[in-house]
Amino acid sequence: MKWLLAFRRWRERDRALEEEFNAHVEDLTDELVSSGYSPEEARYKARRLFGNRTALLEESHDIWRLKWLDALLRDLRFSWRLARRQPWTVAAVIASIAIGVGANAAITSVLDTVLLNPLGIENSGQMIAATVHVKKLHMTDAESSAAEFRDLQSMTDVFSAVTATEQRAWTLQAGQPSRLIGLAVTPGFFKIFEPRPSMGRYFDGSDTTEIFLSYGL
Amino acid sequence: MDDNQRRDLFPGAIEMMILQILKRGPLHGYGLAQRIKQGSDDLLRVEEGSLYPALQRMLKEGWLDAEWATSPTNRRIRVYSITALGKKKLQRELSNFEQMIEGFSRVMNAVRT
Repeated sequence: MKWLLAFRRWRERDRALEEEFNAHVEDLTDELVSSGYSPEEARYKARRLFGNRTALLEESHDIWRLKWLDALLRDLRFSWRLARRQPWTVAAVIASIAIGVGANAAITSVLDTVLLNPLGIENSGQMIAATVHVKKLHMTDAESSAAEFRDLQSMTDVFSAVTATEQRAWTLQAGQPSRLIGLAVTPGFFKIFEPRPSMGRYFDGSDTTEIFLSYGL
Repeated sequence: MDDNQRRDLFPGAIEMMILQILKRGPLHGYGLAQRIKQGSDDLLRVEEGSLYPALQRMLKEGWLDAEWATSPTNRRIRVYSITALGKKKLQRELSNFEQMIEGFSRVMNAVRT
């Protein structure tokens, strides 16, 4: 905002100075006419006596100018002139930048959904997967016990929600028996993965006889 | 005097003349140019436009004040007047200038004899 004001003041100063120049040249012309010059001659001579207006304006700019702003404006004007002269080059530059940015954005969003955050979890950066390693037995990713889960769950000042899952298979007996493969989860699961149910509500642990069905069934 | 045969002034000479002239009363740019021409019997002819950058510089330094007014010829003009700071500056410049002339003439005389 400040530099905008400064810029306006700068323009006003320019206009004022030009007005002064005009008045001066006209006064000088009048003087020359009254000393015997023809109006055209007087005007010409007055201009010559006054000097190079553009150079004088420039000199006054040097006195007042905000150096960086002036340089910036000059660069912008220069590049604009260049751009005007070579429209196809500019078009090519803009197109390559646009394609580059677009491709990057596309790849990043694909990577994000496929590799980085496939489940679309809102605060995926705050999420931690706890695994159990038992070095003495050379076990990695061992299954954890309910007691360990309770320990984690009691660290409420660290985590806003804790869940445990276990892969299970069920048999659905409805006409043809079919095998269902799924996860058994603790109530905290839905707090973390945050899907919105289209009907009803999720189980929250207060009732142990609740069931959560998807349309796949 | 021929237009092409101008005397080069030392740096700051225009500022000193402007301050000295304005001490007698406010004037606009054209008036200042007239005073300089007449006062020097046309020996000094500064390119009249070159007064304006000098005036701008002095406005910025706070040695002058400027106010818009209408000239007797009915043109919008900016009238300049000297400030207290400008008067002090003039005092200092004049004494510096006198010292410079003094030193200069002593050297010239010493070399001549």
